[in-house]
Amino acid sequence: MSSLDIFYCTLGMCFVTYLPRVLPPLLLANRNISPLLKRWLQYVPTSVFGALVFSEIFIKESGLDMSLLNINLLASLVVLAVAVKTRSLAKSIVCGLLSFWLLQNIIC
Amino acid sequence: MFSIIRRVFNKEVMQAVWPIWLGYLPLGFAGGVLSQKVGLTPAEIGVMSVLVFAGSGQFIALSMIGSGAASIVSIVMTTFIVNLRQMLYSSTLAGFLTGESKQYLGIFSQGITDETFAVNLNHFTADSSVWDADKALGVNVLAHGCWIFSNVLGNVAGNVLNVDMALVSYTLTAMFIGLWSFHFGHKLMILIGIFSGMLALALSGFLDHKLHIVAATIIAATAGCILESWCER
Repeated sequence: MSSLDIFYCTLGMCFVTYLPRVLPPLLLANRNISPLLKRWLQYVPTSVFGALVFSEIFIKESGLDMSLLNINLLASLVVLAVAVKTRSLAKSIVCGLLSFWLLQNIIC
Repeated sequence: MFSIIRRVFNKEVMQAVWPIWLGYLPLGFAGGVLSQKVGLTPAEIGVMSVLVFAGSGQFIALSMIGSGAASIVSIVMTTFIVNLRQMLYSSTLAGFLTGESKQYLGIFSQGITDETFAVNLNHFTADSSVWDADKALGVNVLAHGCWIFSNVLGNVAGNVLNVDMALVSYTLTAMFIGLWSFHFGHKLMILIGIFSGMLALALSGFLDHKLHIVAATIIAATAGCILESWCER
């Protein structure tokens, strides 16, 4: 691709990523949100995180990896335990990375 | 001027943003390396990181540019689809930003990603007396800055350092798990999250480009609404 192509590509990407981000707050921020939409939005975070986390853990390039030797899964159980127990994001991430690194060196 | 800077960048903001930096530095670096390999100059990836700020979307776009076969339209459309989920994020955050000016919303929105959404939402819901729109903007701007910096650095210094990508992407997974667990207020929330996760796996077989995340979220959140109304009866 030429520099000009990359520039047009960047502009196009800017347009299609900025609009979906900016329109909802512009439309919603200064008016009353309906109770139904409010209730629905309450369930968005847990749903998004559930979908993201499950995808990151189980979907590999080769397909679904549901085995118990899945390093992501094992390390994630550690993260979950630490997060629920300590409610500290820092401790959860550090413990997760440590166990991921250890498992990588044990299993592979 | 000075007081604005102090309201937007302060200790609480730094404490909130560091896990994002931990993930973005190596991830952005890797994106920068990729950009250099597919022929982008440091200036080009810099401009792209400023204007687009779409982690995974940027990775996919870069590899499409690298393939040489993809048209600009198909790259832009793919980016659009991959980042559609940010619509859900900005709708959710809008509830905490009532009364903010259009200029504020215009700047704030550019910084909405999986990670800044997660961190800001948690701070807004945990303690709305401490967390405010200024600090949320601080998180977005600092995260975006880190993203731009690490992308350009990766492009310039790409071939020197070796990044363990599995470990890097796991940093962000760990962060999502931590942030997710803080939403486990009542059982229905946990249930809906797990349901959404399993749904995402099931849908990933035939929905490409992260659309399975969007679809699973919409279905699961709707199911949550319906179940809650049933329980109330």
